[in-house]
Amino acid sequence: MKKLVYLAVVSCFAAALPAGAEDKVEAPAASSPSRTARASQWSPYKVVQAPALPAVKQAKWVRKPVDAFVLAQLEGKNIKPSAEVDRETFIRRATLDVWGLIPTPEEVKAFVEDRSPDAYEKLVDRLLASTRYGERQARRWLDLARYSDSAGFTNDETRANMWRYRDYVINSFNQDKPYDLFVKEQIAGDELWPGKQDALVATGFLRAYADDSNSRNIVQKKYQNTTDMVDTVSTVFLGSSVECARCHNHKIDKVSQKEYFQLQAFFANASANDTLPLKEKGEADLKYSEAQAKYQAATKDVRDRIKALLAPIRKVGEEYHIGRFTPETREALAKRDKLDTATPKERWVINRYLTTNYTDQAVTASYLNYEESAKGIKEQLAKLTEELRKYDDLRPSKGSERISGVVDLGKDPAQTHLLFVGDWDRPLEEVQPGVPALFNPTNEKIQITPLENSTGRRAALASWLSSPNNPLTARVFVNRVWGQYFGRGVIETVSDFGRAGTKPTHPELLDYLADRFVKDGWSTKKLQREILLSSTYRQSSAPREDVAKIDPDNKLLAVFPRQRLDAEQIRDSLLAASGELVDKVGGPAVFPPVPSTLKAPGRFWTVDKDPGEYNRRSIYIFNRRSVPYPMLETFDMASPQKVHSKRSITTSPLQALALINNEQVFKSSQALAGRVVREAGPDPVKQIERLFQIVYSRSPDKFEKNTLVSFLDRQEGLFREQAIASGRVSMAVPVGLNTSQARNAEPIRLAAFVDLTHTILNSNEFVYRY
Amino acid sequence: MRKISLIAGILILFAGSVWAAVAELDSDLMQAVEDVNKSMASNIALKDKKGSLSDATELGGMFAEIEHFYVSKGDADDAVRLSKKSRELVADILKSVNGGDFDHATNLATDLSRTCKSCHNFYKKS
Amino acid sequence: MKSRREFLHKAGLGLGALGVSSLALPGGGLLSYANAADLAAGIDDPLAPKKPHFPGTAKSVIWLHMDGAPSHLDLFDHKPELIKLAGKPTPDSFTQGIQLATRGGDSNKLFISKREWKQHGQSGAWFSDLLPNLAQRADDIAFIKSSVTVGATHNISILKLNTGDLVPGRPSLGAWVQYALGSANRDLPSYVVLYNGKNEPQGGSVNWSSGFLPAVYQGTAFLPGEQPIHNLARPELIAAAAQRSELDLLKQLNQHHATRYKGDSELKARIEAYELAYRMQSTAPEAVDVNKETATTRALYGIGDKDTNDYGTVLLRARRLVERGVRFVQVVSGPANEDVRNWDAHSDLEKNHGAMARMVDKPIAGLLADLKSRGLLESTLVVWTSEFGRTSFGESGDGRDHNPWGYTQWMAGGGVKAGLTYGETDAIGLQVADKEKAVDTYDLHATVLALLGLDHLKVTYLNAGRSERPTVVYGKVVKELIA
Repeated sequence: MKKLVYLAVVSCFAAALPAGAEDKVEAPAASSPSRTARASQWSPYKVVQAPALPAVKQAKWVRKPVDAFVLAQLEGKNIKPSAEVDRETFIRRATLDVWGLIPTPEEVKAFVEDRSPDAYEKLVDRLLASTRYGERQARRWLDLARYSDSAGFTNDETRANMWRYRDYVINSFNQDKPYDLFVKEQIAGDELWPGKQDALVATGFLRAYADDSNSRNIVQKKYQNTTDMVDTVSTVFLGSSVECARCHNHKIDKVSQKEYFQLQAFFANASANDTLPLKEKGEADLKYSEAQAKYQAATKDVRDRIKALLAPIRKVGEEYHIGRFTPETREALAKRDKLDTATPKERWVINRYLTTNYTDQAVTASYLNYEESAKGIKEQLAKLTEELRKYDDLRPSKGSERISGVVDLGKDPAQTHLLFVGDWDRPLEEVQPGVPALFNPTNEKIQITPLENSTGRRAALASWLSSPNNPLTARVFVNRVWGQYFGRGVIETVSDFGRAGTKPTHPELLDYLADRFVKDGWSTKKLQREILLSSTYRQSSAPREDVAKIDPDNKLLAVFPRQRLDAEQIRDSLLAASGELVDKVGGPAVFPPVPSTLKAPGRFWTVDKDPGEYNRRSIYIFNRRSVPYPMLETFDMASPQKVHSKRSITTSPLQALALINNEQVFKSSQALAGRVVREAGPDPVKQIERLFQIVYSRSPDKFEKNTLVSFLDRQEGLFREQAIASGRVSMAVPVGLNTSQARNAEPIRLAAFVDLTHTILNSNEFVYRY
Repeated sequence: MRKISLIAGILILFAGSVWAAVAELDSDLMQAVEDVNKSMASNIALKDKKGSLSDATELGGMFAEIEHFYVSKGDADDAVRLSKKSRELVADILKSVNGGDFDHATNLATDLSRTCKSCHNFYKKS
Repeated sequence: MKSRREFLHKAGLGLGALGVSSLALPGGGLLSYANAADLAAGIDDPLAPKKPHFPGTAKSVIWLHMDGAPSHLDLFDHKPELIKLAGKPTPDSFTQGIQLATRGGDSNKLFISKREWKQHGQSGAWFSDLLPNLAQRADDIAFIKSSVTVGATHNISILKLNTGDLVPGRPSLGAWVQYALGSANRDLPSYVVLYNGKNEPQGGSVNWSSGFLPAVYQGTAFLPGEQPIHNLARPELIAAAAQRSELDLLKQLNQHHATRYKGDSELKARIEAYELAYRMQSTAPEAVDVNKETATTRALYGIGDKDTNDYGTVLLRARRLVERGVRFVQVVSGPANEDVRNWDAHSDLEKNHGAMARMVDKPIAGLLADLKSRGLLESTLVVWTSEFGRTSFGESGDGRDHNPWGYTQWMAGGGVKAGLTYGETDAIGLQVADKEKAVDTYDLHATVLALLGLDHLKVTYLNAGRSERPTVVYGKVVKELIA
């Protein structure tokens, strides 16, 4: 008799479903008309077939094939698409979407005045060709990769090499790397292209998981890390959260527990490592090496003395240290000097220990703390450490000579077992690598070819994932891209294509995009180009009552969805408006100033010495898991704890405070005021015109002009009153004016203008794209 | 669309339940129950008589189907009892809505949802 | 004016004529906000105070979420039979009808920790030795010992605890309360989230989201530590008058802009957020400054003592906020120390619950005593909640697993029947004894709303053509809990 397991089902899938369904492969034909209407024949698990373009009445509206799919549904509901948006709004929208920045007034003007028939094509191609495209697209990808520059948990150690992976992603988008290749490199770059540094860096995708270096149970840790990698891979590439199947057979999406652990088996030997050698060094790396060599030379004496001091207790200290690990871990670590006797799993444990915990000071620290007789050594060590600290200024504060990535430890794989209810210490039968039948409709064979020093398993998984026959990989990615432009994927739950997710609004559109994408050589730029040049994307965002009645959620896209800018778009656009943005691509992460209220320990946030780094794009700001950069966090940046599929949009007084009171924003307002005065001259009407062009990409209307001019008068009056009343006045003047510009203007008028720009940067129109 | 099922739904669903009984309950049906139930709760709250009646009718058919399934399956007394209770609640809801007593219908609909839940939370192989 | 009508229509569904039109309220902030210009620009006042459906006893709620799920069996639910059977396999009779994730092997064995149990107060409620201070408040508390939920991972069940659904998207209870009652103090956010520890609680902002309700109803999270809000002080070079003048301009521009996007609740919420932010500059520092309290009061909450300082500070802040009219304060328990991150004691329950109980015991007892002595307990509902409880059998030898089938939550103040115990679990504390008395999160929500004077069936909002309510399609008020 079948055991009924309601709770397990309900717990994972948010839907109360009956048991008894688990043996069926496909739902039976619906037995009533109303249910037929509810059920859908389309399935994300069938191989993608190019759908026929639907016939539409308003054929003229169709610029790109995607439009036909959108229009067909609109016509089905008797809705007309919205009118074409004006060019100013369009270029602002497209630049924000593609670059994550507002356009300059010159770019707007050039586009508006471009009367050539291919003006839109030229604009879109220009946007896609810029390195800013990669910076924007990469940020979305890093959300999925749970990217961070630190390890997380209490210690939250810096991962000094992770930025290489971030740069890899930026470069991949900028080179329009075929997506299938992009997938392969990130899952198995080390196995598929041994010796190719870029491919090794790509495995940083797997490595990016949060990790607790302090864990006393490394055997369990292996399982947790593998779980993270498997969940991430299935969520990101397959749009399927299989993690429920870790504890029980997946009831809705027909993934068995065994199949889940077969997925884990691909990662049996996968071992994260933050100390992989960097062979090809760039300019910054060479600089780092040079500085590091200097530091090493200067401190050699002190470090030698520390080594000598600890030498006598090195062994006993380490034994003491290892004594605090759990039994199975200790057993493995006992073989650390005779690796050939260790099982592959034990090798993993030892390797993790050696790459995470293994310094003289780390392994003797607890011994020194607890052992009374070692008090003398402890005191001397403290003194020497103090001495060593004196050289900290010599130490390069960022950069590295290493790579963070994932490699296999040897070709003989550690065994993977099905675990009873997912408990790490309750192994049942052993399983071999395999992919869930549900995701493999063509029964594609998984071919594993071991390499000299690697299992070859991840390479096999990567090949299957990137196969055109994989029903999910292309669909999931094109759906994410569509969602990026229209605020909602064709399947709204972009990371859950399963039955617990939402149904597609336009299934044929999704299939069309996936099919086209693969046929276009998995080109992300071509995909985005088609969307950007579509009539659907070119619609106005003006609200429409007729649409609101029939399609209140705007699922059918009769109106272009207006959207709040995300955290990075807001900050980057602010810097672009003020002219402060430092447009430098790549390199180690930066630490701009933070509010004084942020009480992060110094080792977690030391502001950069070089102010030139403050105004880099937000993607380069150090992502510390425990100390998110406040300005970005307030505006709903991604959490790097796990795959972040969709940015939430919150609206809170804390965000208002972040823009009205933040010192950096105020400085940007001063710089923006300076820029406007420089570029527009002393006439206030011209200044306002220029300010609007910069921030909103449009001219002010009459109401706005009048309102702003009278504000300047009012604000000026306020300053004068204040000056007379108190004999002094607190005001800020524009930054970046030359002496003649400054001399030609009244300081009080200039200060009023700073307040005006500050206000404009706080406005709704600035933080939304329409 | 639902107007069609209002007419066609009763006959075909009830008829359909007979030959579909031996098949297993599939999750589409249960999801449909949940959808219609939510829709009905909304329609009652909005005092939408037509919509409420249509949903209730459809639900009645579905519960009949579920009940029939468990009866023929055997060895499932609780499930039979709960699906029967659900069907009866739906009948009461129909009555209340017809009589224009939407407040009472809301209470009944809440009871119905709780019955669904208790089936899912507590029903075991019996 | 279309959007205003639309809003009234939406709100009116639930609140009838008592809805948002009641603008005539004492308090300058409101009057200056709801002026003719605002109305002309189509700006409604979604936070205007609204009357409840019937006179409620509670005005505010302090929602104490015990993150990670404490064990009812080691705090409140005394089970002599469990003590007797400890070390033996769980008899099958107790596990009928539930799928046990950890059954089999050693984990099947019933487990007890080193607890001492005593009855306290007139009510004779049981408390273990982990909560010596709270035990002194026994007669203020009404226990729900038959809590049930859907058990799964923490994040999913936490979401259900706060929003009633297992996937993000629905409004949290605090958002519904704000929607239904409006704000009682326009100078502070009406729905505040507090937590101790460095990081935002697991699950994050979806647990204080406004879901499909207008964005203005979402919770505002304060940071832990001395400075709970970044950027609260004006930049040095902006004088107060100059800033006010800037914000007046901002409002003009935003309203002008809003005429192009009528009925857009997000844009409206952002306009409202600036006004609130402006007022918060002067009100918030004072509202959260626990140094304004006497040394005796601070000591009552355990402030100054390493184990209780952070959580105590958060609770004293909660009291100060409630005192100032904040409707809903959601307090998420953070880590007790570097090793013990939350109540999730899969192993070493002794150490875990020892530290967590020490962290919350004195502050919560202090909160109840403090509220009472100020006459605030009558109008402040304090709710001890968790995403689920823990199992009667052990895990890893000395811990317990998740238990959604029967656990304890409690309420105090705000008009609950103090001293009452509602429902019970079976003899070993694994499942509710009488399923008719099971209290699911929906029922808890319905009861909290009832104490606030709200009929959960009538707090409705029209979303995408469907009438939604806080309890989805469920919910039953546990009348026995109401005095």
